[in-house]
This record gives sequence, C-alpha cells and structure tokens, in this order.
Amino acid sequence: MNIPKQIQNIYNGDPRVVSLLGMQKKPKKDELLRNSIFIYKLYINNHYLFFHTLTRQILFTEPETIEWFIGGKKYPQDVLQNETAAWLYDHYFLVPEDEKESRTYMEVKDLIILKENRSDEMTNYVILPTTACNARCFYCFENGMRYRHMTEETIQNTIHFILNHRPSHNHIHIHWFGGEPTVVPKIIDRICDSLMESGIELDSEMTSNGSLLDEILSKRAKEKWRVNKIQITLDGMEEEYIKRKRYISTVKDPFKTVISNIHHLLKEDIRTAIRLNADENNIGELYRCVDFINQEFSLEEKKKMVVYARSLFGHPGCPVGFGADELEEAVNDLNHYIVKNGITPKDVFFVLKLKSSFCMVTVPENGTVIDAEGRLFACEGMPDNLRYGDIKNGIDPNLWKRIIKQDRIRKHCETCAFLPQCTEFSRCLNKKEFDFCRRQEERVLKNDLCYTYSFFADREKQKEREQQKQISSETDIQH
Amino acid sequence: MKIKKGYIMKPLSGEYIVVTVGEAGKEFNGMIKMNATGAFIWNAILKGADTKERILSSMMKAYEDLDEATAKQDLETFFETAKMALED
Repeated sequence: MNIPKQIQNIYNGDPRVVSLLGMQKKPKKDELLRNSIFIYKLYINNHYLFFHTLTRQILFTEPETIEWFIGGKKYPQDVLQNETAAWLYDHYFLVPEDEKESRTYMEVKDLIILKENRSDEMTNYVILPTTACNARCFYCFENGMRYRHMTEETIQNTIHFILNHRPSHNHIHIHWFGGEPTVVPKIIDRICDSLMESGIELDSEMTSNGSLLDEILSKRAKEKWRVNKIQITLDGMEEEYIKRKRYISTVKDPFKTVISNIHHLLKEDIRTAIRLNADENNIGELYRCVDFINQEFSLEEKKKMVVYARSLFGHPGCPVGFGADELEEAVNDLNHYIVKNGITPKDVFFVLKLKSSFCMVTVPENGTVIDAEGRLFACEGMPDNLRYGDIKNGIDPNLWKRIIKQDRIRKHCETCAFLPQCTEFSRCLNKKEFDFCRRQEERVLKNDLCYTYSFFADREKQKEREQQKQISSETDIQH
Repeated sequence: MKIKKGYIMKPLSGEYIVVTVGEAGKEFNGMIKMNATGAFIWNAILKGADTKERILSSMMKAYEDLDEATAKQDLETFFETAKMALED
C-alpha cells in the first residue's frame, strides 16, 4: 500500500526489524485495535512526529490528519477502511488489542542477536591494575576503598585467567580502569607483554585523569598497550578543576598539564573522549569549559575527540546510573550546546538502529571486570551483588547462574514505550527506579529525535536545492 | 531427511521464522516464515522423523481431527517452502 499523502515517512525503520516483522498480519475477526505501546510522539513545528521505538520508523504529520489517533482509544476494525489507519496498522502503529508487544520485542531482539553470530567467548576485559590514584576527586566512586596495586600473584593470575579463556580468534579488548591506571605503567607493561608473547592480539582503551600521559607515556600507551581510545574527565576550568580533582602534590599545574597531555594523545591518534562531570554547582563552569575546548583544539584534533556531559551521582543502587531530574535536564541542555557548537557530531545512528546489547551486564558471557584484588564482576561499577568469583579460585557457578539467567522483562517495563531502547532491567539487579528511568529515557530520546528530525529536514532541503539548481541550469541551456 | 546445520527456527509475533547462523548464512541469508503447522513439522524433523511417512504419522497423532489429504498437502507446502533448510 502506498503511503497516504497526509503522512510523511521520514525514516522507514531499522531494516533488520522491518524485514523480520514484515507487514502486520490482519487482526482476528471482531478484535478491537489500539495504538501501539511503542509509540513516542513529539509535537514539533506545529506537526506531530511519531516514533516507533521497536521498528524505529519515524512519521511526520499535521495534527488534523491524525487527531483521532492521538488519544489512547480502542477502535473497531472499521477504522481500517480509512487509508491512513490501514497504513498505520500495516506498520505496527495500530495493533490488535491483545497484542503482546513486549514479547514481540524480545523475539525480535533474540533474532537480531542470533543473526549477529555472537560467540560466547570472553573477549572484553575491564582491568583495574590499581585502585590507587594521584587525585582525590570528592565524587570518586572508590572513596573509602583501600588503595592497592595488583600484587605479583594477581598479575600472574590475571594473565593466566585471560590465557585460559583465550578466544578462538586470539583477539581481546582491554579497558584499563582504576584507580588511575597510569600510576602503575609497569603492571600494564607486564600484562600486555605476557599476553602478546603468548600470541594474544590486543587493543585497548583507558579511563584516566590524563595527568601522567605526557609525550613519552602517550607514545607508550599507543605502541605498547595498543590504546586507541581514552576517556579523560574535566570538571571545569582551571580553578574549579583543581578544587575538584585535588591532585596530590606530584602533579604540577594539573589543568594545563592535562590539556597539554590531551594534545599528545591526539597526536598519537588516540581517540579522546572528554567527559564533563556535572553537578548542580558546576554547570555554568562546564559551558565555559566547552567554549575553551572549542578554542584550544584544532579542527583536525577535534575530529579525533568526543566531548559529552554526564551527571555525577548515580541513582540509588545503580553505580553507573543517572542523577536527579533537574540535573539531568541541565546536562541534556549542555550536551545540546556541545553538539550545536559542532565539537561533537551528533550521531543519528542511536535513534535509527534498534540496540541489541547495552551495558556489559547484558552480555556477561563476553566480558568481565578484574579488580586490583583479582575479583571478577559483571559490571564496571563493581557492586557486590554482581560479583561472581575471582581469578584464583575461578567462577562461582551459583553466582554465575544468577547473572546469566535468561532475559525476562520486569512487570513495570512491559508497557513502557522505551522498553526497546532500555536494558529491560533483567540482568542488572540494581536498576529499580522505573519512573525515573522512564523520564530519563524520554529526555534523551526527545533530544535525539529533534536532532534526527532536523538531520532529515536538512537533507530534504538540500535535495530540493539541488533539484532547483538542476532545473535552472536546464532552463539556461534551453535559452 | 534432516535440518541443515545453522538453520534455526524462532517464534516471532505469533508465527515462526527460520534464519541462518554462521556458515549457513553464506548459503542463504533470507528467512523462511512458517505457521504453527510448519513449526510442528520442523520440530518433528528435529526430533528424528526423517521420512515423509514418519512426519505424516506424527502429524496425524498430534492433530486428531486432521484428515490425511490435508496433512499431505501441508507437508508438501512445507517441503516447498523450507527446501533450502533441508538435506538428506
């Protein structure tokens, strides 16, 4: 069926999902219809944007066209006589009343994962060579943790553990985390050297404060540790940065040093993500920081950089979660400012593609965290309830069973419009703030959708301009 | 007859779908949609019914009100639809 002229189909949807689902099959006789739970609608430029969070299809229409569709009513099947309604039904915006959409989502996700041909081999490691750090950030999630480096025994056991789980293709990815990993470069050397001598190919990324990554260490990170991506945090401009990071005396002029080190890292072609940690006291400061970054780094350097803001404090239970609503709004605005300034290109990919995996806890078979004491965790936040053994004694089968248990959608999430782009809360035992989570998903999606809409609108305008140009050049030739 | 390696059937929105994984994806990268009868036949083959007669017999056992002519017709439709997923 052709698309009704009242609807503009901005994006057809994720081709993988669309081809799996095909057109929706006809409803059973006398079955009522309703709007899909997976519709998120946004009023924009006096029009409605309808986004299907499962198929990722985006429609744009005038309010009058679709007035009947906006409420949460139930419709008799006669409504399908209307060509717009019939089209919306074919494309899953209207569904039979008893349709189990959350089940369909899980089935689609399972099929997509199956087609990805994922192996169940261990290929991703988050390693904490130390919990020690040369900064004393007031917000550090490791506050209160004992500072310790990996012992010789733990280093050996880490190497053995990785070699014992060697994937068939021999390639692994390591995320160096801490503490500050660059405080113990020799431990990183040891692990990398031993693995590579044993025929393991590796590439790595690092979360660091950047203070020790001078020209020499940046080179070593690139060449010896195979670091191709690094995340460095800036909490504000010089004065605020120093106040918040509270470096111990060995780091002189920390802000200037870190900025200079970011230049070194970029020179080594190490992609650098600058994370701006926000709380209610430094948001204004972070806007200045964004302006500074824009000035300080060349266009070429900025191509290798990503700048983004995140709230500082996790919501209850989740060690890598979100902050409070007001702060999240402010962070959202700041991220918008970063994109508007062209520092970080916004990727429409997040909106257009259905995600099949989320944080590391959703694919525990493929990765693990090894902390400085050799304990194994399924989450980089390292909460006790996601610990499942240690490198010396191995994986505890009972704890492992709990972590890898089959995905099940929790009751609260079954009717949530954002379910297909969320972790469905199944394996993360800590996420329980359902209402907050909904609001956060909506905030992020709203921003992303506005951006996606302007992306497609700009593309349309560009097409029109090119057509116009062609018409006028043809007219010139005729004259 | 048996199901070729790498062909997997999964439920989807009240019906069933067969997709390929691994090496089989090089041979066939599409998908085969099936109804409940097709899924039943698929599972019967997986369980070891390796001839038309055996599959037919398990169909007749499972569905009391099914007549043999319809069952044979369903089976032929299945073989036609799923031929790329089957081997001797």
